[in-house]
This record gives sequence, structure tokens and C-alpha cells, in this order.
Amino acid sequence: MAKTAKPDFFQKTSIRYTIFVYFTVSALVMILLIGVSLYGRLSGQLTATIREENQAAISRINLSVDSYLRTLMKLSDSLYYGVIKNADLSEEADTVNSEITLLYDNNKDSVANIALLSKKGELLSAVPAARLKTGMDVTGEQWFKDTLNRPENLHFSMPHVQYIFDNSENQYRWVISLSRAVEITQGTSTDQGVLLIDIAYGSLQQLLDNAAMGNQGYLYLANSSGELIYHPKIQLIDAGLEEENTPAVQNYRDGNYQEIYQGKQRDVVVKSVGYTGWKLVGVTPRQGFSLNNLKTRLFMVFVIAFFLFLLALINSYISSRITAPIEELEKSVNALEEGALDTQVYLGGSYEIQHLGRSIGDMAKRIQTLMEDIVAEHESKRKSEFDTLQSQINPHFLYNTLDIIVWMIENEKKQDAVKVVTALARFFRISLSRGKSIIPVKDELEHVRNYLMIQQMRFKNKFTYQIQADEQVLSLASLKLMLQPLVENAIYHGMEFMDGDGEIVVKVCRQQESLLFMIQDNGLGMTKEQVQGLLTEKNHSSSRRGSGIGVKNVNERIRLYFGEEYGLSIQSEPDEGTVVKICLPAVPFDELAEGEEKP
Amino acid sequence: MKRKQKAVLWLLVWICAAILPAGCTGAKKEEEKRSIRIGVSLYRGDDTFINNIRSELENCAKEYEQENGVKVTLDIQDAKGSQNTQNNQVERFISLGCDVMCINPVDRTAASAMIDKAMAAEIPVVFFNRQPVEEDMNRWDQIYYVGAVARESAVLQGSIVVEQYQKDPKSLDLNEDGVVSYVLLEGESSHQDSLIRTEWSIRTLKDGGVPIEKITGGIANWERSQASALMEQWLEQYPDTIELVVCNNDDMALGAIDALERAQVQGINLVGIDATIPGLEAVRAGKLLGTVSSDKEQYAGAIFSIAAAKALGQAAPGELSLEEGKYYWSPQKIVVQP
Amino acid sequence: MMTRKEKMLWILYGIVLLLLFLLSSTDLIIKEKKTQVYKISVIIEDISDENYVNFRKGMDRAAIELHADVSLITLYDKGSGEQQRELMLREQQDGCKALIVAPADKEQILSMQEDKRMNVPLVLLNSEVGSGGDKIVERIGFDYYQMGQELGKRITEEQSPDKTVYLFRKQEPDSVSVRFQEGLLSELKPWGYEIIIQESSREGDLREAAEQIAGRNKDQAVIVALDPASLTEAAQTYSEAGEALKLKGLYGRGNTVRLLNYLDKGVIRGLCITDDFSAGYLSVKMAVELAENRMAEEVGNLESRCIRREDLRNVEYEKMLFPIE
Repeated sequence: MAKTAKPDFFQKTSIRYTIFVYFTVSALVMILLIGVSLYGRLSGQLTATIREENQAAISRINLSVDSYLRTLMKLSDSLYYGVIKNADLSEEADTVNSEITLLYDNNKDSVANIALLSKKGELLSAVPAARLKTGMDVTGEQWFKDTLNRPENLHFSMPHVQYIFDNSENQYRWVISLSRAVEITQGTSTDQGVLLIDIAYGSLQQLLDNAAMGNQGYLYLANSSGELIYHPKIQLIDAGLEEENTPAVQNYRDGNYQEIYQGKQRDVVVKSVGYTGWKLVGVTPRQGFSLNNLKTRLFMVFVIAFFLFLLALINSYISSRITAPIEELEKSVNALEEGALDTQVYLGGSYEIQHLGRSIGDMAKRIQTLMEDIVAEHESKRKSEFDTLQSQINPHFLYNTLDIIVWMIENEKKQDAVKVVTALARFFRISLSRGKSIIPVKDELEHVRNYLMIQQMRFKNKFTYQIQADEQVLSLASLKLMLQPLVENAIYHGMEFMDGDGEIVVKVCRQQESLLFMIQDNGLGMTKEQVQGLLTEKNHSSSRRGSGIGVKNVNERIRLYFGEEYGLSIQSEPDEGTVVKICLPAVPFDELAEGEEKP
Repeated sequence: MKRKQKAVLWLLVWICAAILPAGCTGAKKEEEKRSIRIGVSLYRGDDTFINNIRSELENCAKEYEQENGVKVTLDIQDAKGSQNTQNNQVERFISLGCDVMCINPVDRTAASAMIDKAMAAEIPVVFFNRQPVEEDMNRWDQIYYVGAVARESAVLQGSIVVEQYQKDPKSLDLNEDGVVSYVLLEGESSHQDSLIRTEWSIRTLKDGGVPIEKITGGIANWERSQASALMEQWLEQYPDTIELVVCNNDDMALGAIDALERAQVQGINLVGIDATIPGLEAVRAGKLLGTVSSDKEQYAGAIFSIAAAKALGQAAPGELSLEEGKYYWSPQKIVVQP
Repeated sequence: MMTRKEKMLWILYGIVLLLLFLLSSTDLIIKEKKTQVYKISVIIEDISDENYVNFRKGMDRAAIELHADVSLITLYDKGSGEQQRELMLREQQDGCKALIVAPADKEQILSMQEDKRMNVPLVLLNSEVGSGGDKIVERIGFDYYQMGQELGKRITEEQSPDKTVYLFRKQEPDSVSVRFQEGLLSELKPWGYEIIIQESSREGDLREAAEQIAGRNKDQAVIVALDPASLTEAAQTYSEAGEALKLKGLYGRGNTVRLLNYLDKGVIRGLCITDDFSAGYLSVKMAVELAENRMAEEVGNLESRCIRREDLRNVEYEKMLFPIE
């Protein structure tokens, strides 16, 4: 059932709707494809661009941090190599101090304190002026020991509160200690010592606070073990109020990573700071740079819908323009189908449609003409068939009659022979009637009279005949070879077993507008089946002596020439007799003869 | 026609009636300002003098609140010695909608950036204690300065020693070699006051006829701990030589006193400037010879009253008699042990 | 040309299009989240904010992070519940969205909650007063009782029971000090320490007392100051006096850098500290949440410790004691 339903649906949708739907669907597909590919490309490009930006930003900041640290390292170098190394601190302490002061003044923003300590933990020089806390023993401090143990390195500490110096009551300073082992000359002895530069943590903070990551990102600094050195929320993280993904950072090498932390996607860029092993980490949350904003999505939907709307409108208009002529044409065709072959077919629209219209119109006309031709041809074919048939001279009848004539001549019955020959001649003359099918009733009666006469002679007066016709009907039109076959039938089927009692009566009369013929015999009669057989068989095969034109033929001819409503009818009673009635229109012969002249 | 005219007239009347009260309430609103917001940025929160001024400001604010029923929001921030931090603080004040700002600039030469921002936001500024250059002060008529005349402080400081010397030279010249050997503890090198105070203090001593001889001097950046360290060094370097310590401010004097106490050295005289609360205590305890006081109540009071007036959109209070309409110089006096 | 049905569809489509446009490109329907700045006021029970330095730092940090306009207000008269009440009303009138209050007077706060004029959410600091009916009140603070207990334990470990314990406090101690004292005594009493309460009615009282006590029997005396001011006074006395009067045991509570320095110098033996930074931060966070949603996450009691001198260098405490700004 389903299969039939589907074609039904498609059959019902009009071209206009189909075109519209196809255009719109293809437009939608196009737009979607364009949109998706553009979006994908843009999104990808945007992400890539921002990643590059992030990396560039981190590189820049890395350079700043690097340069910052380097400046401090150079300061340490200058202090050592330029000031301390070759100075004798037992004598030149003041010079050393003023030189250190100079270097300090130049770096005031980033340096909190510079201090020179001896191996035993004495404060040899400090700028700005400072003293060690009472009871402070630096030699016990881990950083001090580490610095002395690795004299080739500069040591950076983690950020811490300054504690070795005396400070004012209400103050504390966060610093990062940069320390190195130095050679101190005092008098004649040279010994190890420590040069300590306490870097003001605030200066690092300022440097990194102002380094913008953009795209709602932030950055932080951690050492190689993942401990935070700087973070915008370092205080909150320590207090446990916020969290950062530092354990993961430990394992990251330099590069770009994507991670999911606390349910949010983020992009992480890691770059190592030289010498210290610190890692600079830039974090950008995904929503900062993706196009996945709700509003953006809605906007995309809007754009797609809008363009679809425009295209659909245009499509609708176009499809209407294209299909309207087709619809008109369709209406014309509908009318044609109904049978009104004269309808004016619509001519309009594109040239194809016009062509179609013209063609359909021409075709309709031709069909009409052809139809008429066929009908006419058919008719004429039938007529010629009949004509041919009619033109045939029945050979049996001819040589039977000639036989009789020869017998008559041989038997010196010259007068009878003349009669028969004359009758035969007249019979055949009317049979031909110069090829016409319609002859006056007078001639037809003459024809049948001659036939009857001949047959009577042949059958040695087995029967008698009568021909009765009104005077007025003699000039009316009649079909040629109409009565004779019927009489033939009457003779051969009815009279065969009658011994002189046979009677055949032929009557013609006019009944208003109809011309009636009646052939009555009192012969054997026929059963109903036989009657049916007569009307349907082409050639009456039960007797070879017939003229070859059957009853059916007569009926058909009558109907062909005069119309369906005319024809013959047979009434028969077995052993009683048969009456064949013919009905024709009462038309004067002259009228029909004219019509026949015009083939 | 007549009807139409009438209708238009009525319409006009109604419109006027609607606008007038709005205008009135607008004006009224100005007068009835219920609260003012003052942003204060200190150059360093642990400077004792600044701290004292700060407490006084808070007291002034409370008194003002109680007297006038106007709520005062005093937003006090510490710039911790960083001009950058202070700039950020100024921006924050502006974004929070402060009516007036009181700024103690970290770097007096960098005041113009802050003035630019204040001018753009049309917020008056009262600078105090650290004076911006004259060109910057003159850029706008809504900029004020409250401070103490540095020269006056120095002269007064010098006069303490002069008087003491005149009273009893031996108290100053401990080793009686006819010379008062002194060491000098100076404030920040870039601060206008350090230079002026140093110069005029010494000059006053000289002019006062005190035979002084400088042993050494050092920059302690106004800080007690630095002064303490320097003093300790000098005590080691110049034992029994130092007789007088001239300090640009009380904090440094107290630092020197700390060093003296640690070293258990007695007799050395010290003078400071500021009369901070610990400084006054030291004077009372006899550890500090004397200090110069600018009445902190008046000092802070001046800052506050100018600020409050400006916040309410009024002119600066006339009773302050501002020099050039901008400068308020706090009166100073000597404080010695009674 | 078009059927009615078709026209309806087109019009409908047009409306949907318009809707999408409004949604996506204008602010009429989906509004960009505007960060609202909440005005929060903190009213403390003291006339100066000495003890609230770290708290203030936490407060300021929260103000930046959470877009709040926070101001700290001190009283004119110390411990005046009446004044506090006035200030609370005044702040509310001035447009505060929430208040953080360190109650000066228990009774006043209770009555405040019943007061119909109080509409804004309250965050109470270090208060035991419960929530009042339909008013929105949250609490945050430290467990001072427990703090007192911890200190008590420490003292029993370090000082033999034959010593005399002097308790320094103000004449009318605030509820925090009272709780602290109770906790402390709960640990000390079973050991049989002699407890003497030393009150101060004016400045300088405790100083004299401290000098006297030290002068009398500095080896047998243990002083516990129940509030930061008293501790500061006692410590100052001893630090200035030098070794001569140095006590074997001066204990107390407080957070200022000054006290930490005294601890470092050895003047104070044991100090009870509180994570004020977190308190400040969380109280503002709570206040903002209350102002926004009328609901906030419970925080409960925050960290407090008793530390010794060695703990000053401990990385664990470093940022708590000395917050980075």
C-alpha cells in the first residue's frame, strides 16, 4: 500500500512547489556548507591566531622577565667583579660602600637591600644601611650554606619575608634573595663570603601584573618543582581560597597545551626562563577566544535563516514565473482531455512552453482531422468493400442459369430461352448499376423480379411469387442487392422441400418517413438459433448456391448507407414460414443519387 | 482658533509646571549631599610621621561626621614607596567616584601624571608633606598643598641646639675640645626637605655660634632601621667622638637612639623634626634633646577641611588663609624636655 | 498568486527572523551580564583598625576580585553598641547591599536583628549570636574558645603549675576575649595554676602592672594578655626595659606585625594568631553572595594557631602572617 501512496504524493505536488522546494533545499544546503566551512575555518584560524598571539605574548613577557633577572645578575656581577673582588675591605670599606650605594641607587626600584657577608656571618657592608638582627646567625641558614657550597652559581631563592635584617616595627618586606659566593680580601687574607641581593618582590609583581595576556588570560611564574613564585592570586591560593593547576605544570615542557581544569577548558603556554629553571605559564580560558558565545551562535543561526529567507522569496518568485505558463498550458490540456478539441491552447511563457502550446494545438487539430479522416476512410473502406462485394458476379448462379439456357435451346424451347437470357441480362445489368450502391426501388424490384423469374424456371415452378409495391414508393431510394439475397435465402432454405406450394411475396410500402420492404415465404422456417446465425455469419456456408452476399452483409450495408436505426429484422416460425422486414428511410432516389456522385 | 490657542497655552503651562520642580530638586540635591568620599594615598605607610597624620585625618573625619551629619568615607591606601602603585591607586579612586583626593606623592617629580588624571576627572587634589614642583601646582586651580616650611623646621631645629649650647655648652661639647662633633642623618636624597633641612639646620647652628665639626653623614631614607644601622657603624668607627646627632626626622633619631641603647652609650645629644608620638615620648624620657612639632591636629585638620570643602563643591575655607590660594603652611614650634 | 496559507507561513518566518535578530545582535532580550558593583560596609568594634590590617588586605583583595566597593568603618567610641547600631542604619540608608559587623555589644546585635528597619543581609564576625528569624544573617569567625584551650595546653607544657598566671584584659572585655579566657581557663584550672586577673581601666595601667609583676617575681610569673592591645602594652613595657625585666612567659593573642616582631625578639613566648586575610576575603565574598542571591556558602570557623618564635620562619605560616599585597 505504501508504494502506491508515495507515487501518489509526488504525483499530486505541482511543478511550482517541487521547483521551490528543490531550490530552497539546495540553497539551504549551500548556505549550511558555506557557513560550516567558513565557521570551521574562521574558528580554527581564530584559535590558531590567538594561540600564536598567546605564545608571542608569553615570549615577550619571557624576554622581560629574562631581562629583569639578567639585569639583577649583572648587578651581582658588577658588584662582585667591579667592586668587591679587588678591594681590600679592611681599608677601603667606605669606597666599597659608596660604590655599592651607586649601584644600588641605579637599581632602587628592584632592589631592597644589598649586603656583603663574611664566611663567619659578619655584615661587612650593607646598602641601604642595615644591621643584622640581634642574635641572627646567618651561617646556620640553609641558603648561606648552599651559596658557599656552590660558588660557581648564582642562587635565586623562593619569595620570602626578609628576616635577617632589623626592620622597623610595622614593616615586612617580601623579597627574592639572589646570592653568590665571593672572594673577600681583608688585609692579607682572602676568604669566602656571600654577596646577597634582596630583590624587591614588588618589582617582579609590577612587571608581571602589567604584562597583559589578553583574551581574559593571565600568567604566573613557578619554579621547576611547581611551587608558585608569582601568581595574580598567590595570596588566595596559599590561603586555600583558590586553586591552580601547578602539579601538572611540573611536567610540562615548553610549548602549547590544552587542559581541562575545574571543569573549564583552557589553553596553556609554557616557556622556561633562562638560568633559573623557572617556568612562565600563560593561561587562556577557552571561552575567551572561541566563537561559542550563545549570542554568536544565535547570530549565525539568524544569518543562515535570513539568507534562506531571501533565497526562498526569490525562488518562490522564479518558480512562479517559470511554472505559471505551464499551469496555463495544463489547464488547456485538461480542457482538451475533456474532449473539447476546439479549445484555444494557451500560448505564452518561455519559447519552449510556447512551442509546446503550439504543438499541442496543432496536434489537437490534427487529431481532430485525423479522427474525421479515419471515420471517413473507415466508411469509404467499408463502402468499397461492399462495392467490391457487390460487383462480384455470382458464378454459380451464372452457369446454372446458362445451363438452363443451353437445355432450353437444345430442347427447342426458344421462347423460354429468350426470356431467361433477357432476364439474366437485366439482372446483371441492375446488379452492376454502373457501380452505384443506391438505386430506385423500381430498379431493385426489377432486379428481384428477374431473379425470381429465372429461379422459378430453374426450379420448375416449385413456387410462385408476387411482388406488390405502391406506385409512390417506386421512385424512392433503395440499396442495391438488398432484396435478392433475402429472396435467395427464402428459395434455398424455405422452398427446397415445398412441392409447388411455395409462395414468396415481396411487398414494398411507405409508412410515413420510412420505407418498408417485406419478403414473406411459407417455407420451412428457421429456429431462433438459425435466425441468429444468419445475422452474424459472413457467408452463409450451409448452401453454396447463394450469391455470396449474406443477410448480415445486407443488414450492415443498410445501416452503413442509411444509418444505424435502419436495417432488417427476421421473424420465423419453423414449418410455418419466414418474414423478413427491411426498414429504410423514405428518401427520393434523386436526392441520394446526388450525394453519391460526390465521393 | 481660540480653542486651539487655549489648548496650546495650557500645554505650555503644564510643561513648565513639570519642569520647575525638577529643576528645584536638582538644585536642592546639591545642597543636601549626604556623603563624601575622600581618597588618600600615602607614600609609605610605615613612616611614623605620615602614620600620625593618618590617625589625625581619621579623627578629623569622625568629628566632621558627628558635627555635620555628613558621612565621610575615607579610603586610605599605602603606596609602599612605589609611584606606580600610587598611580594605580589614583586611578582606582577616580573609578570609585571619589569627590576629592589627598595625595602624599612618592615621587614629587612625577606628580603631573596624577594631576592629569585628576583634571580629566575634575577631582580636586590636596597634596601634602611632599611638595610637587611649582609648575605642576600651577596647572589647575583645584590643586592644594599642605605642608610645613622646611626651612622653618630646620631653623627651629638648629635653634634647639643653639639654645642648649648657650645654656650649657658642656652638655654638648662632651669632651670639651671646644668643638661639637656631629654626625648627620639625612632623609631621601630626592626629597626637597632633606636638602633644605640639612642645609638650614647646620647654618642655623653656625649662625648661632655653635662651633660644629662634621664627622660624617649618611642617608637613612627617613627610616629608623637604617638610621640604627648607620649609627651602629659610626659608633664603632668613631668611638667616643660623636657628640651630636642631627637628624632630618624623628624616626631616624629614634633609630640612632636604638643604636646608642644597644651599644649602651650615654650622653650623646640628638635632635629630630616631626614630633611624632614616639618622638615626643623620647623627648619626655630625655633621650631626645628636642624636636620640631607641626601641630598634627592642625596639619591634618587643614588637609581635611580643604578636602571636605572641595568635596562638597565649596571654596576652600577662608580661615586657613592659603598662600596663593593653594598653599597651607603648618605652623611649627620647638618641643624640648620641660 | 500565493494561497493564504502560504502567506501566513511567510509572515511567521519573518517574525522568527526578527526574533533571532533581536536575540543575537541587540541587547533587548539577552542582556550582556553587567558586573554589578556591590556596596559593602564593614563596621568593627574598635576605634582604630590596628588589629584589622590583614583583614583589610583580604577585604581589599575580595573587593577587586568580586567587584565590590568595600569600606571599613571604625566607631567613635570603643565598644559602643549603640553607635554601631546607628552606623548600621546609616550605611543601609546610604545604599549598602550588605553589612559585615564585628559586634561590639551582644545585646544590641540581638535587638538589631529584631529591628524592622534592618533589611540588608548581615555577616557577623566572631559572634555567637544566632540568626534571627527571617533576617538573613551569616557568621564567620574564629573559635576563640578553642584558641584559648590551645594556648592553655601550651602553657601547661612550658610552665610549671606552681607559677602564677596573670590575665591582662580591659575592664569591660568584649565577648571574644571572654571566650578566649574561658577556653584558656578550662585548660589551666585542672592543673592548679594560680590565676590573677589584672584589668585595666585606662592606658598605662597594664604597663605599671607589668613592671610591678616583673619586678616582683619575674621567674614565677606568667602573663597572658587576653586582647591584642593589652599584649602590645605588656610587650612594649618589657622590650623597652630590656633584659632586666624579661619574663619567662608572656603569652597572648594578636596579629599585628608589631606583635610578631616582639615574638621574634623573644619578648613574647607564645602568640595566638588568626588567618585574618582569609576572614576578610571570605566575609566580603559571603556578603556579596548574600547581596546577590540572598544565600551564601557556609564557612564555619577559620584557622587559628598558637605559634612560637620558630614558626615565624615556617613557610606554612609565612603568607598568612605576612600577606602579599
